[in-house]
Parts: sequence; C-alpha cells; structure tokens
Amino acid sequence: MIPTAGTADVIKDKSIYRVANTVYGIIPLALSTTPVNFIVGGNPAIGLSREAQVFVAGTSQPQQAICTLVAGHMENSFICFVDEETKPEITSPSADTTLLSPTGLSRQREIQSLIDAIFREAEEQDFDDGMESDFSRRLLAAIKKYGNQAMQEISYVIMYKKTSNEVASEALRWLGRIVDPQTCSWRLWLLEKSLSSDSPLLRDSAGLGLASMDNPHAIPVIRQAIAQEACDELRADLKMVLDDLEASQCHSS
Amino acid sequence: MPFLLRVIRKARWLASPDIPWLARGSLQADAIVDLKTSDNELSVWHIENDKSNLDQVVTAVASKRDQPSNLDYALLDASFLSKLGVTLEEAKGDTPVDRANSDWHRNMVKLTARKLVEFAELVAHHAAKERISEKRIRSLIQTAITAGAVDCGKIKPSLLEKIIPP
Repeated sequence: MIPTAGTADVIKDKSIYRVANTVYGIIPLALSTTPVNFIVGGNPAIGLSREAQVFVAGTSQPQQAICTLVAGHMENSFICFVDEETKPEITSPSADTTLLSPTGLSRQREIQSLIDAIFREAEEQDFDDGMESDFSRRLLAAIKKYGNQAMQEISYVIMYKKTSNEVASEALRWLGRIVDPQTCSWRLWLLEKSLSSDSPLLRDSAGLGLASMDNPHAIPVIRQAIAQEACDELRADLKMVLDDLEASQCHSS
Repeated sequence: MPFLLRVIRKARWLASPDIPWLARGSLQADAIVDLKTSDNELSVWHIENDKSNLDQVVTAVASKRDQPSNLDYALLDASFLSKLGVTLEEAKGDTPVDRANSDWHRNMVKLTARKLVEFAELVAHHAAKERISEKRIRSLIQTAITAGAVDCGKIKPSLLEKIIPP
C-alpha cells in the first residue's frame, strides 16, 4: 500500500526535515549506511514513543512498514530518524518542545507498559475461537480507552514479534471484531500488513480479522495476498474472506 | 460410516511444507492444544454418514460462544476410532441446541496421553479440515433462532446482540 497523504519530520544530525505527502523515497534510505535509531509517534502532543533499530540500506521492510503506518493513517504524524549520538539530545525535553511533550511522553510510556503487560500475561492463556478471554477483554478495553495510541503500541508488539505467534494471532482476530471507528484505519492497516507475515498462523488470523471487520477497503489487499499465498489451505480460506467481502459490497451498493 | 467432528483451529494443523521447519509427516505441537481433555475425556460430535446433521451441530457449537466467529473443525471417519481402540460414550452436550445435546454429543473416554497423540496423528493425516465463515455462522444461528431450534435463553447476551441487534 503506497501512502498518499501525510507528513513526517525527519530529524537527522540535529536538523528537522519536514516532509509532506509520500514518505516513500523521502525517508532517506540512502542518507546513511549504518543502522539508525527510529522513533515514531502520532500526534506531536503525544511525544515520542517507540524506538527501534532499522537498517537503512538494503532490506528496509520494517522502516517502510512504519512509514506507511504513519503516513497513511495518522493525522499530524511524524517520524524521527536519529543517529546514535543524537539520541540523548532528542530524548530530553529541551531538544524540541513540539515533539517532546513530557506529559505526552509519560502517557505514551504508560500505555506502552500497559500493552506490554497485556501481551506478556497472555502467554499463559488458552484461546478458543469466539470465546472471550482475559486477554481479549483487556486488549479491547485498552483500545477503547486509548484509541490510536494503544494501536501504536499493539502494532509495535505484533510487527516486531515481541509476543508469541499464538498471542499475536488472537490479537489480530479481536482487532477485527471491535467496533471503534476511531481506530478503524489503523486496525485495518495492521490486519492488511499481517497478511504478508512470515507466520501462516498470523496470515490466517489476519484474514479472519478482516472478515470480521467486513470492510470492503481490504478487498484489493486480500486479492494481492491470495495471489502471493503459497499455502493452499490459507489461499482457499482467504478466497472465502474475499467472497464474503465482495458479497457485502454488492449488498450495500 | 459416520464421522466424528472435533472443533479445531485449522492453522495449528498445517504441515510441511507450509511449516518449513516441520518434518514431513509430523504435526505441530500446538495441534494438541485443540485436543484439550477433561477427566481424560475428549468431547466430539457424531455426524451422520450423509452429513445431514452437520449444520445443526455446527450451529450448536457456535451458539455456545461469546461472539460470532468462524468455526474450524476436523471431520474424521469414525472407523478410525475402532482401529485406535478408543471407547466412545454418549454424553449430553452443553449447547443451546437441545437436539444436538441429546443426540449427537459424544465423549472419547479413558484416554491415555499416547492414545491422544495417536488420535492427533489420525486427525492430521486422515481428517478433512474445514472452515465455516463467520458470516455463514451468523446466518446459521439466525435461521436456527427463527426456526425455534435453539434456546435463546441459553445464548450469551454478547453473542445474541450481534446476531439480532437490539
């Protein structure tokens, strides 16, 4: 999915590069040949949140993924790339008051801790289709309460494989079920992105989440996933999801 | 020959080459999660040889849940069970569909760990693994409610409000 709108700020060597519209090609994969720190946040009032290592040259999938996430689905989004030596400065409130609201940062870290705990404690639980669990209840409550800030953390945990495939799979199923217009775009994005996971379990659950979401915007991505799916069973199940979504679309139009 | 139906999660039963690290003929350890026993018994459903009661059993299982969801199941020819030497007993089911509870629920009893693994291998290699979509499940439950085949008082409110919005 190529982002078509959005803005991003790139901090490089203590300078801020304001970037508009398409992030692809602007987030400068060629600026450095070494790994850089990567910080992504939503509304500038939130402050900085996650940090991750991305590799600038060559395989840039994680970087592109998050760039897509920010540019495609978040208003007032920003992305910061910082060198190792720059990092201490930008994590202090004096570096950039717009990007580094201490209150916002504290709140995001609180949400980060909550989401981390929800996923960590889920490792001990068993899951059955259609059955609520302590994990599903807490996950949905966090999304209802914190909206896209919670989704930001959930996306990080799933995309960076900070939880087991079993728990990530359960999360994807429930992300499709929750009725919450505010986080719809982000949930849709995460489910679509998970269709290309290297785990068949996650690809399957992403398809199920999209089926529950019943959002025809997913149709082109599911078509693409079907074309690329190597597993016969998953391809057949994705085809069923596609058929259901297309039927819904016909029915509503 | 009739069939035995066991609710599973299909992705746990994917094998080589879809799971690259898995040796040919092996099954994922996570598949055993789908065969959770209680008192050394495993709950299964009897499906007639013409599968005439399949929709009713699926409806029964799905209507016991908290939310509308897809339903994955494995369907195994019942003759495999006699080869395994496992005893099957009739036992009343616990779903909102009385007919299914009384007529089609079974327990595999006196299971040892070894028998359970052997059963898992039978499921892996010989059972058809199918999925009923969430949309179809909603339709089946709605139809059953309309026909009076399901006891609405036994359906959880969280499920009922999704099937019949207030």
